[in-house]
Amino acid sequence: MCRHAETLRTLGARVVLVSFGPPSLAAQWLRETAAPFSLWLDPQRKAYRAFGVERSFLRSWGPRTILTYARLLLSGRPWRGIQGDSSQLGGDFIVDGRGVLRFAHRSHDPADRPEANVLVRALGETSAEAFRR
Amino acid sequence: MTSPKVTTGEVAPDTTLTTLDGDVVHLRQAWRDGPALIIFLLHLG
Repeated sequence: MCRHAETLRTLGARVVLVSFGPPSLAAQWLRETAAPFSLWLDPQRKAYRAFGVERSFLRSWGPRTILTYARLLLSGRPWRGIQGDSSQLGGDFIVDGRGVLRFAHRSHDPADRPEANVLVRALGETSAEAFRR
Repeated sequence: MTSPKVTTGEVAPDTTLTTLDGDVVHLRQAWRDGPALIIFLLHLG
């Protein structure tokens, strides 16, 4: 999503990252990734639960996930090991300016995330709909 | 029994979170001025 930051600005869209990790680790992660987005913390996972983002040990450690982690390690990406609950899955949601949910993707496993261009397109459609009103 | 999940077309849930500076924010502030993409991260590692 970082490479789409300018497009997102043009669309008037905001990206908020939500993490359940501790503040120090989250701040370090944000520095290392240089993601130009807000990072808000949800240590009790109230928002995760409210949006129906699940936890699953079995789905979090399936073959596809292990392969993904292996590829990341082999790519030379620095890795500090699993920090926090490895069973917590992720999700991607788009909410319009009226507070209505327009896109929802709850990851089936850690590697299950929509392509960035899918999210950008959905944001574009949400923005366009707002202008038509 | 799990509670029903919010679906598209419904009002998005709002909860309080914390910024890296320790300030409390409402998730609804994300979409206050326009559409927002909310990305729930996995563990940080």
